[in-house]
Amino acid sequence: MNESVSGLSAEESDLLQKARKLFAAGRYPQAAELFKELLNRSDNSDYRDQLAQCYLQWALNTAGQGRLKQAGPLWEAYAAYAQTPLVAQDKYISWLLAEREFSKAYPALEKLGAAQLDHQFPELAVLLGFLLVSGNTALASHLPPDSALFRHWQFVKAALAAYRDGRFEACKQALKSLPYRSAFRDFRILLRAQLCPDPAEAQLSKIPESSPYRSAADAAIASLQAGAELVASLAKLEPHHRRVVAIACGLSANQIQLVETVSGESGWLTDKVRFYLALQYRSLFGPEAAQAFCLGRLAHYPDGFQDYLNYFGTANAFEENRIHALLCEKAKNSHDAQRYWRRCIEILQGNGTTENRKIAMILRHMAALVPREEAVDLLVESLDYDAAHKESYLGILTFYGLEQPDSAQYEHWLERSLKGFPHDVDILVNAVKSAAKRKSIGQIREYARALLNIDPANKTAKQQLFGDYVAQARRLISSENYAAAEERLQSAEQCIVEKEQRAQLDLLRGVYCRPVQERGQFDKQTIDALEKLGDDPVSKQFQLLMESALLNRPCPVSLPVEDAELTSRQLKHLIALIEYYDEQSIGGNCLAEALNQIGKPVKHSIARLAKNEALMLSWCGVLERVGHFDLLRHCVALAGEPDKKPIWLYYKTLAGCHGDVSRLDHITLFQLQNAMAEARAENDSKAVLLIGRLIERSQIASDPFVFKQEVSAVDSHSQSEDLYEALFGHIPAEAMEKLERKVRDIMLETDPVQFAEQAMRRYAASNDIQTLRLLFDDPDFFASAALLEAAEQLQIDIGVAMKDVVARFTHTLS
Amino acid sequence: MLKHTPYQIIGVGEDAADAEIKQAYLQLAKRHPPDCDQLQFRRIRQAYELIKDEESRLHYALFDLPDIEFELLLDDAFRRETPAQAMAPGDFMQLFAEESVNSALAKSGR
Repeated sequence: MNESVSGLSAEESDLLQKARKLFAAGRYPQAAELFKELLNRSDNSDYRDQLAQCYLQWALNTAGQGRLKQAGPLWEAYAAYAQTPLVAQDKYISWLLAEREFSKAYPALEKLGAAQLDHQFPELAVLLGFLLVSGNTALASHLPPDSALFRHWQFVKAALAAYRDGRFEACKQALKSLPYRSAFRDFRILLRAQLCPDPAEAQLSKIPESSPYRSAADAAIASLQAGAELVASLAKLEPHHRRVVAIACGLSANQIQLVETVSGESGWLTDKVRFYLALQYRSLFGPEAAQAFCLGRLAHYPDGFQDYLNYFGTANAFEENRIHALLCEKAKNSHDAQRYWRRCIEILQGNGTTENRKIAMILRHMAALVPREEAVDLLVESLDYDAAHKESYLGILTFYGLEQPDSAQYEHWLERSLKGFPHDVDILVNAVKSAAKRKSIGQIREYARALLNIDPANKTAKQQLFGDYVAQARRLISSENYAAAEERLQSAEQCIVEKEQRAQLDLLRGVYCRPVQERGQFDKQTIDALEKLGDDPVSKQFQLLMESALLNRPCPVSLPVEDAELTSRQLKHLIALIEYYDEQSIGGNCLAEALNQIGKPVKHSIARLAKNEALMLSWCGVLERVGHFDLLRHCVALAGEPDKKPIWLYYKTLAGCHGDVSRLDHITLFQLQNAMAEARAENDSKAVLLIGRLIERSQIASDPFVFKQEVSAVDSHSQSEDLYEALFGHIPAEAMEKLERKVRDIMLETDPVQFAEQAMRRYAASNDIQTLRLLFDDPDFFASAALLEAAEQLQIDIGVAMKDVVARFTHTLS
Repeated sequence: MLKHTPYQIIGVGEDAADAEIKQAYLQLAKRHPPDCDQLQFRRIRQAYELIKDEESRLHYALFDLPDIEFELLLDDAFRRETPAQAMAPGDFMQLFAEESVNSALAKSGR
């Protein structure tokens, strides 16, 4: 439609331009109007063709929208203006058939030649075949009698007749007469699947989506299914097919109703829908299964709880609270879960001692849901109900021994555990470790031997006995009783569990366990012993320094370590060595001293390895453990951005205060609290534990009550605490809870130093900045300012303004 | 009936003793070895673990919240007692009734 418009009048040319534009834009009705007008002006064949094209596209468009009834006349209009051969004749016939306009459809069919139907319009042939199969047999007489479709219909007709009569073998034979390429190919697949349903699904899936047999194929597949698969397939079927299959499968009215309900839900069934379907059809599912399903579903649809109770009820108050507790757990609402479990315990307590085991079990379960410091109390409580539960003792020992060390509590619980389980490996391991910590040699031997009687390969017992033999050997070396020392070393050899121990024995034998006069600095025995220590001179020197210090002798060998550079493997080895000597609790000052002597090569080695964060953290960990804060500071400074990960703030703080947590100010504590929250959000449980412990140690170190007891004086801290109470004591508990939550949020969002700076800027106009600066050093003033900020953000009127806070606290400055 | 509790899966009563439960479990495991139906074997094994001794049974009674898939309910409610068979010719021909023809014609006309 892009022909030249020269030679036309301006008006006609304009009209033609417009018509073409409308056609190109898909506005066929308007384009057709203009072409008709042009045709009225001059009977131009081009105009006729273009008008015909308008009608054709308009018809196809209309049919595409499903308006088949309107599409037919539009195609007829196209045919009136178009020259032969006409296009989309097959479409036109299919529209007429769909609208049951047989009086037009049949003559149109009769105009088709056999070749045209079989080769040009295969889709129409398939559709006509489908109609024949569906019982529209009158159609056959209007087909070209020489067409393949007509011929194939005769075979299909015979197959269908045989099938209806139950003569399946004859049916198969009739189908065999159909050639591979046939308009009835999909029907043949469908009918064969009925005759031999075993691999039916695979056969039926070959029928293409565009085939008129597709939905019958889906129905046939569904009819072979069962269970949830059947329901899902039925839900997708057309209503008529759904009914046919439901009846064919022998579904009950209740089942059919459930299928219809599921079909009515578009797509995925929500938890709510599933919950109510199980309630509504509980007789179909079985009341017990439906109840169990609904109970489980409540975790995802808690609003259904009342309906659940209405339909199923609960056996008793215990059960109701138990369900509530479990649902709260699923919703990660630990606080309410604990509350409901407590109610369960109260109910069980009312039943006497028979329920003690259940109570203990609930308490242990609750312990698993709360932070460790709360968990330990629950474990202790559980032992009142089940004193023979070993894991609870071990949990308590781990808590007081490792997580929040408290030696008095640890010893108390160890004693109780040993009384209950004197021959238990785990408890004895705890006992050995505790004895080692207390350097109680007699107990170490006693428990270690008891342990080895039960478990001859026990690592802890062997390690402790090894340490004991080596200590004895050292004493004997010091008294120059080398033969006896060698005996001890041989005994120690029997207890070796790690390679560091072997190296230690080799060193003791090669360098120390012989008279001084027999040794030269680099004699063969010394060189051999040093060889066995590996390739790293720094670690070798460290070991020599340690062993010499432990023997109270000068170091016999001085290796050239100043310019040595450790690889990451060697640094890891050094870390293991430091831990090894520290574990044996024989390090003391000599560990720090030995580290000082190898400080230079270590410092420039870690400078090179600073990017290896895991290694740096291991190094920091061991330095903290042995209390070498100078090296720790050096390591933190090298770590790049130490504030990046919460754990780095922990080491930075520790190095900054040289391990003296009482020196931490409240700003640092706030920063640590932020870091702890950040670590918690990042699931970094190690950082949470370490920072939490640091904060707690700091709080204990600066506890005003301890101070009061010791000094018997009223300190300024308690005074400001009273001020805080005087200022905010009137706020209802509920509002206070909200405010405190908000304060926590503010502190998480804003760095405490930044918060103080912002507040000072904000209130500087009405207050002396120096006074404010001093006031912000008081943690209670800081907390008051944060509370005011929280109240402002939450728009809660607490009746206190900054000027009131400043006025109250200013007195404390004098 | 849908076997959803570990007792039902193992096929013992809720008051069964350890030995009875173990016996039933071993018999069941023999009937459904892992190399034949791993899923079923796992289901049986998990059920046994939940009730194998008194401690486990108490734990199950106190802290278990059933978690049944809706599909499992449907599987049970729409299970077939006999293997699936082809549709009867009468039912099959119903798939080509007028409603189906209308929908096929409407689809093909587009």
